[in-house]
Amino acid sequence: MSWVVWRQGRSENVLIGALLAALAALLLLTGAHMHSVFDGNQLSLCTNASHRPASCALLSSAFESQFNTLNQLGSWLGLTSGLLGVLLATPIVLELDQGTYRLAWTQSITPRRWLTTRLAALGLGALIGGGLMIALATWSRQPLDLLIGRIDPNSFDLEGIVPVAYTLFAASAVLAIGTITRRTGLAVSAGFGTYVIARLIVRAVRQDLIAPVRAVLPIPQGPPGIFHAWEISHGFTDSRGHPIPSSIVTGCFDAHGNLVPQCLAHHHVFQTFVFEPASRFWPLQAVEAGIFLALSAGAIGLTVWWIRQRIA
Amino acid sequence: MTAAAALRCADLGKRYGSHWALRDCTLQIPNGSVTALVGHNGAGKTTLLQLAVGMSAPTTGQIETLGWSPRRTPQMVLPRIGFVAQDHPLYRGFTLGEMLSFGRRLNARWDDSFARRRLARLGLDLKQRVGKLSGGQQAQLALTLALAKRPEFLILDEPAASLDPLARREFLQALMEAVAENGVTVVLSSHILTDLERVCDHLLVLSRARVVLAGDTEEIVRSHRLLTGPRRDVEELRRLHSVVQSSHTERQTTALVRANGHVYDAHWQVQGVGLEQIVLAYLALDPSRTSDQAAVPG
Repeated sequence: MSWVVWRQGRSENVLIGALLAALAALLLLTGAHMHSVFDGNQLSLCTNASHRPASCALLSSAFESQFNTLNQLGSWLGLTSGLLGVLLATPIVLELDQGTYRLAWTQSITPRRWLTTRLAALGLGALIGGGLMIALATWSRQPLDLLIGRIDPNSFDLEGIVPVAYTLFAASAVLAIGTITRRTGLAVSAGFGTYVIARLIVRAVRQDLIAPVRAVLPIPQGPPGIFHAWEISHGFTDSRGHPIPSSIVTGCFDAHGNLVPQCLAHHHVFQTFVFEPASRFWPLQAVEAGIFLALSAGAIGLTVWWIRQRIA
Repeated sequence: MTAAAALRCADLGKRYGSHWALRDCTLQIPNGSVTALVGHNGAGKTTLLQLAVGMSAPTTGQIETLGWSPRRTPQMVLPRIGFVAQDHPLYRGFTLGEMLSFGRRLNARWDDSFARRRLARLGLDLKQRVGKLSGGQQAQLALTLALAKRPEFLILDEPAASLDPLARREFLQALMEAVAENGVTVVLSSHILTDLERVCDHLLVLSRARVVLAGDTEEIVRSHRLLTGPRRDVEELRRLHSVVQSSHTERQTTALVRANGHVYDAHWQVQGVGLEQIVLAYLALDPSRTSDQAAVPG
């Protein structure tokens, strides 16, 4: 049966291989470059929050701005998880669309075994493909992660465990739509669309999955835990965190256009930070992966039910 | 009911939404028979065959294929049947060799040398792609895959529907040779009886989701008579025989009857009638009103 699954999905498997190879090339090349700059500037000395040399602020912001585009690219690579999922589900949808399931289900193996084998292959593909993506991205982005942390969405979406859950969700969305409509083109486009929309929605509410830390502090200080954190917002407020009239702040610029801290302190201006500290990386990963795995389980449950009730 | 039935249905029904695709279906197909399943498109042929292979679950009643429920015990049914679905689905991107590999890996009783011999005899190259074959060749390949399972029961849904008359003839001939060699029970469905008449010894006619005629073809031909005579009411005939169809012109009455023994009535001129004409008469029936006339066990 495994040969059959492999052979039926051959075109898709070739595409998956090409996709992962392109991703690997991109991440390995850029990663190698970042690693060499990182090592050359001895930026590893700047990765400890408690004792950073004075030169670190300059060096690490220079590094960040040099690789800003690459860092921002992180979010877009999340689409790869979706494409991978689509390609994993397509052979199963094609079997239903083209009617060859009628051939497959009347060989000596039972339809139940057919379904479990195909779903197991899909799960294994998501695990291997997603795992490879995670390994590549984690190695490639290591310099950025060491300097600015990895709970920021650009890293968060590519590392930890969520990419596997994303891939599974994309695959099960395509599978469910494909099973119900038995139209491959529709399933692929609507399934991928569903994936993108679900990702955008969950991304928008991610900061509320675990309530963020809110710290109100006098001007010069930064809150404990801000190092490597995902900074959601940061602004001038009064001592209770309420917004203040902007005229107070604009009145505190000196002749060179710099803010004068003493002036702000005199007007009782505080800073409010809203952020997810770096320590929330794994809890947030677990919650977000849980959401996508639960959605996947729902879609696969619907698929199995539909096949048993409506097709078989 | 005897144990020697390849297919046995009791009050079998299948409903899709509010539409009954098959209902009140009680029949059996004896082992070793070659049965033609005839009916218009949408009469329920595919539904019955899908129920027989477990691809569909009955809404009412029971079905047993080779003595087992195809739905509850598929492992007792699937290895012993050969099934060719409508339009003979195949993996178009596979080579013929890969199709055989597919069959070999999914069937414990697979007879690879038989399959190779048969494809060679058809002049088909194992390196060819399935998608490049003609419709007739694809039908032959699908039949080869089904036969190489070494089935006890071969179920073919409209196997020759998409073929031109020559390919259709060749296909049926090949099927009959294979049946003669292997001694399998066969059911094949078709919306037309033409050509099947020569190869089948049993007949099952479906009309509007119901069985309207079932039995041994010779017995069916023997028992049906076409009566013609001066115009008169057929009520008198109904007391002794089943009137399938009657028509009147100004002077003459014609009636197709399933005779209960001989027709001894000087009023009628009695003629034999061909199977095809009998089937057409039954297909014209509205089975929901006249089902009492139908379904005489064979």
